[in-house]
Amino acid sequence: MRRKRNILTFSLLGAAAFFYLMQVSFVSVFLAVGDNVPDLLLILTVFVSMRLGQIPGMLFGFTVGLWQDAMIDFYGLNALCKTIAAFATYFFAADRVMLIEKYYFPIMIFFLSVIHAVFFYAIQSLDGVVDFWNLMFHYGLWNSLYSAVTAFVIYLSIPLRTLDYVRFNTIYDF
Amino acid sequence: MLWKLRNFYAGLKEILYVYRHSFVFLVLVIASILLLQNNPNQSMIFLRKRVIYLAAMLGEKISSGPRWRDSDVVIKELQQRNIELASRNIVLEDAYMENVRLRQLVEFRSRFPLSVRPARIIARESRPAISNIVLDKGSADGVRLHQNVINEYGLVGQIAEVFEEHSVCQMLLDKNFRVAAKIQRTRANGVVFWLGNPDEVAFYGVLKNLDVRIGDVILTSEYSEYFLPNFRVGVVTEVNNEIEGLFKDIRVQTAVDFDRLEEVFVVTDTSRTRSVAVGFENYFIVKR
Repeated sequence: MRRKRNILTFSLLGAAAFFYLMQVSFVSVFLAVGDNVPDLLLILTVFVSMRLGQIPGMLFGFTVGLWQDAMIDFYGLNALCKTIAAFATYFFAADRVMLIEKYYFPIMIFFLSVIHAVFFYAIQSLDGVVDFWNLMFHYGLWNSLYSAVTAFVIYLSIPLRTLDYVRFNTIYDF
Repeated sequence: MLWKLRNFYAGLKEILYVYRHSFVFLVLVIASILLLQNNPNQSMIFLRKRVIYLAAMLGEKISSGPRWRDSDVVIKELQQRNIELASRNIVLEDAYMENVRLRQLVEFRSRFPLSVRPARIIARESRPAISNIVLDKGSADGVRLHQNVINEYGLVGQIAEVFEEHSVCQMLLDKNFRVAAKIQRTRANGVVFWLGNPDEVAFYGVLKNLDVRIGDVILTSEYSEYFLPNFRVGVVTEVNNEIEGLFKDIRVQTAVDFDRLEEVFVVTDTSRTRSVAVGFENYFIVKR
């Protein structure tokens, strides 16, 4: 069991590294619609939190958030927002919605992405220079929508067996 | 006495176990807030260098590889004769647009009086509010800290961090970015900063009794420590006197279209003598 858990942990970190590098290179250059890009790492964080539980989700979100912070030189910002998003996932996920996860997952991503954006831009606008509502209206909502659409596409494109491995083959004893 | 301590310890363990999710959440939130308050420190700078190096390495490979649009066209050419002509048309249009853009860049570089180094954007953190782009030129190419970054339309930002083969540019649309600027027509001075709207900045510090009109051109001023004077920043789109305080509320449409930014120039010439020359601002192309 421990071996499986280690494999899963390293696979998820590998996936996170891949998503992160895609995010800053390919996605930002080729898939940006105006200033809006999907947040691949948020999608992965929510997925981990939903499938493995709040604590692995929060730890995962915190770690990948720190990677993202390295790019913007503002340590703690994405880490905090992704931790909050992973914590909040619990309140959206329930056993019965897992039956229609394929359709429910993007909706979850949308709402959690909005929560993520609220904290992200609220901290940005603390100094009163940039307007919070401007940021939310121009970027927060559209980024969330784009993330939700991307989440749906990713869900459809990855085989179900691979996705299910993150739920049924390993028990995280937290 | 001992059993009381044991009971207390057992109770504490129980509470921690029951509320473990909230406990971990609290710890991580506190860690994040501590990090937020301690930006930047040496270990973080070390981590940052590694991450940017990795991102730049991959970004370079991806952006120099074949574009999916072209590959798509090739596949369609092989599959359907009918689509071939339409696809080729799209490619030709793309090539034409690219040709026009590159010609503009080459022309700009050849007539621009300051020495500039072209750089390609190889990675970017596109989340607005903190806008950084990673360029494919670094200290090995003569790029230095605080050098100005422009394109053929005007000011893009400044170099915020330099690595050997890459550098990080802080863009005008960054909440921490400030640049001293002036109005071309009246020479009234102020400071330009971003308010959160796409391709729009505020020009602050112009007294209410001064003359500012919609369409006035904003340029970087001589008072800036890091920026060379007379780089085009944008055009005034809104002037409002009906606010509290001494100064006007002025909004400026940026000269640069930040959505479409692909190539930039790093101004490696830091001498101010040439950029203060009369008519220097006319080297920039006016966006239509």
